[in-house]
Amino acid sequence: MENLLSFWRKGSVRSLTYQWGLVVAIIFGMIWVYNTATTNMARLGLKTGFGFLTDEAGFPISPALIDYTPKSMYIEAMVVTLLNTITLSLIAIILATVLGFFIAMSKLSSNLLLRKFGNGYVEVFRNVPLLLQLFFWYFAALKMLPGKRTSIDFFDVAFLNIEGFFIPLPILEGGAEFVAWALLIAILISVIIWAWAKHRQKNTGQPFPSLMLGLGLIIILPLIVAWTLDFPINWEVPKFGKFNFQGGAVLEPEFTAMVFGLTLYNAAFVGEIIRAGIQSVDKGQKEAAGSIGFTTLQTYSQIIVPQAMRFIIPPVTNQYLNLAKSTALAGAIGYSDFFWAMDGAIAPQTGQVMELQAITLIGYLGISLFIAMLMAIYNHMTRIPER
Amino acid sequence: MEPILTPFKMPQPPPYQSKGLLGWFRSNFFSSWFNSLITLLLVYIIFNLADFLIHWAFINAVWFGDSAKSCPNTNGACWAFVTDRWRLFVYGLYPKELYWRVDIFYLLAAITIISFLYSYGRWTKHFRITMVIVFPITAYILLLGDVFDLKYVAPENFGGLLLTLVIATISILGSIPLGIILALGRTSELKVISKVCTYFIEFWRGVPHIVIIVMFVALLPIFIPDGAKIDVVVRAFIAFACWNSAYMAEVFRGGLQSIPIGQFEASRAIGMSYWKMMGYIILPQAIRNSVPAMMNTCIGIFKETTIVMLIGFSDLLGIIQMSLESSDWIGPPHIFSSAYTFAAICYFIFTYGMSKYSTRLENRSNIEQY
Repeated sequence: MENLLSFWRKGSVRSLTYQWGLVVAIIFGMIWVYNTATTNMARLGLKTGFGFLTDEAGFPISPALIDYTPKSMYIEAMVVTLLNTITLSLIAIILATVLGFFIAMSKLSSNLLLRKFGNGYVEVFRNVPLLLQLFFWYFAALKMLPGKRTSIDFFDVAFLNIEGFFIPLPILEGGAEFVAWALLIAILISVIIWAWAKHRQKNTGQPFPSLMLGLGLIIILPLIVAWTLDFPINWEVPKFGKFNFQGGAVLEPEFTAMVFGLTLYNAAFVGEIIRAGIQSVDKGQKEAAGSIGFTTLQTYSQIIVPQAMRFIIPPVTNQYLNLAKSTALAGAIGYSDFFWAMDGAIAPQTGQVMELQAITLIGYLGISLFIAMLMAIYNHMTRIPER
Repeated sequence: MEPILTPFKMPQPPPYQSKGLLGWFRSNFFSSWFNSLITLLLVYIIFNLADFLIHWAFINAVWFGDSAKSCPNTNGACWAFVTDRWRLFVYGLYPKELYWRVDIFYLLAAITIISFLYSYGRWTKHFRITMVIVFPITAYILLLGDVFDLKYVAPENFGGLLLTLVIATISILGSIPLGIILALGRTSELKVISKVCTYFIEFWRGVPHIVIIVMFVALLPIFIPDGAKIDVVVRAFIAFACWNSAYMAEVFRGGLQSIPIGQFEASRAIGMSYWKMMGYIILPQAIRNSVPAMMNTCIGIFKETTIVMLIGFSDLLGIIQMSLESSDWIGPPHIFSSAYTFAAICYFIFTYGMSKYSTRLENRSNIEQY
């Protein structure tokens, strides 16, 4: 007995017991859940298997980035809507970051009024539920737009009305690929120049305007190529026909409302994160940079922002993940996103909820992991080099 | 030799531009031409916005009426919608003769909040603990009934602000203990336990909440024998507890990591077991450190309660949306914007209050440290 007790009191024995106990409990739990699920599904007469994926979907999807008709397969519908979700997330992430940057700048400004304004923006947009904001944009704000015949006219090339935002569509003609090549080459050259300039500055301290040169190259080189080829890109401008706009592309109100809602809501959070990051950099850094003759722009771009970035990246990654996840609310205002397709369109038609839930979970976990991975790579690139 | 004496110069007063009210205006609003431009632009914007809001919300607003026809003016808010339907927003579909039970619930909730807002000398701790224990139990008995001669009210009849508060309270109270357990598991030295907890937390954090809640409502019955008997409201509560405990776990993990390693070593050195060390030394400090982050999570939970409307519950936003689409009130978009403004103000009062409370706690704990 005494032996047994002392055996039990050994740390390694206990920890092994607990861990194996947990493993066994999880395995038994899974078997039990699997058994109940199969009996319940047999009782309810639910179909299983992934054979339905190649059946005809039969419902239309309105913004479809790749070819899709109601005759397409379920799996194609999933891909199309997953692309919609990804596009929406990407656009909203970019816009929210830009707007968040301006909010952070306004909250750090020396102008009291601007500071209060930024503060008010953050408090209002951060404290109201996202779903409510989406409803506001979709059911209240965008529904106040004028009708088709009285559209708001942007220089006769773009039109905004209650049915959406009608914008010109670029049509590529022969030779357009050369412009794309020119753009690619320009980017490549800029990167090489940038690397060389960095190397030179490290060794000799001589700065080189690589950013300006690179930007100029990226803009001018494709333009020259396009000019020599007589501009192979045509713009198809929407025109008001008998009953509706013909040609061009349309941003549907559902999409616009989603972009508005997601951007304005998340920009408040991103702005706060950027502000906190910049304020986390010691004040002495700014003063030291100023005392050795850095300009304000140089101080921020060379000293403050690189240090603030390390503080900003982890919370901002979290915010991007939140944004990508909250695109699942799009179905509530009728935008055809991945979750809407799975839960609102395919599930009622096929009744195969289990398989659909599994695919949904995998899809969203995939998006989350992808964003987390990208940000981890970026974080790795900007880390403090260890000696 | 005569020392060279230079007459001592009195410092000159600062230029009049940098002093007093004028100086304050100069440094805060007109320090450079760019700042002056921004100030003028913002004054113009704020003036116009205020002018519009006063006209929209007060001068042109309609305060009373019984249908969309009472609000023909699109330039003004339609508060008639709110004054006509406020009972629904506050009590949901609760039976009218039992409103007093909901009133007591709100009263108790208010007392609980007040107990945390102020200090009551040596009674503070007792008061708070009593309220935290009494409030949920009384609320459960009062709202559901079925004991002490109270008539049973099905959870389906909860609605409006009542449902929003009930979901938020249950999720917050449920996710805190679960979150502590998960955080302890994740930081545990036992590899398997730590891995299992990590995967559990990361899974719930990686999936949209609406997906989780739909999954629980639609699929939970399949995984449990006779699961169909679990009420749909309870299924939603389980879903909320799952993902919120994952978020809370991350909050508490942050709190645990903020404790200096010396605290762990010292408790081990005087022979404390793991649970004694955690219970007496580490957790009290860790929880206190994580209160501000916890309040942020609570704000998130409160805002997230709105998604239950997407699975057909009538929480505050859900019941407002339902009323907007009812035959009496379906109408032009300006009724929608008034209703959403009202909803936004309701949510804002709670979330802003929580964020101010969290700032106050943070400031107080900063003072205590130094």
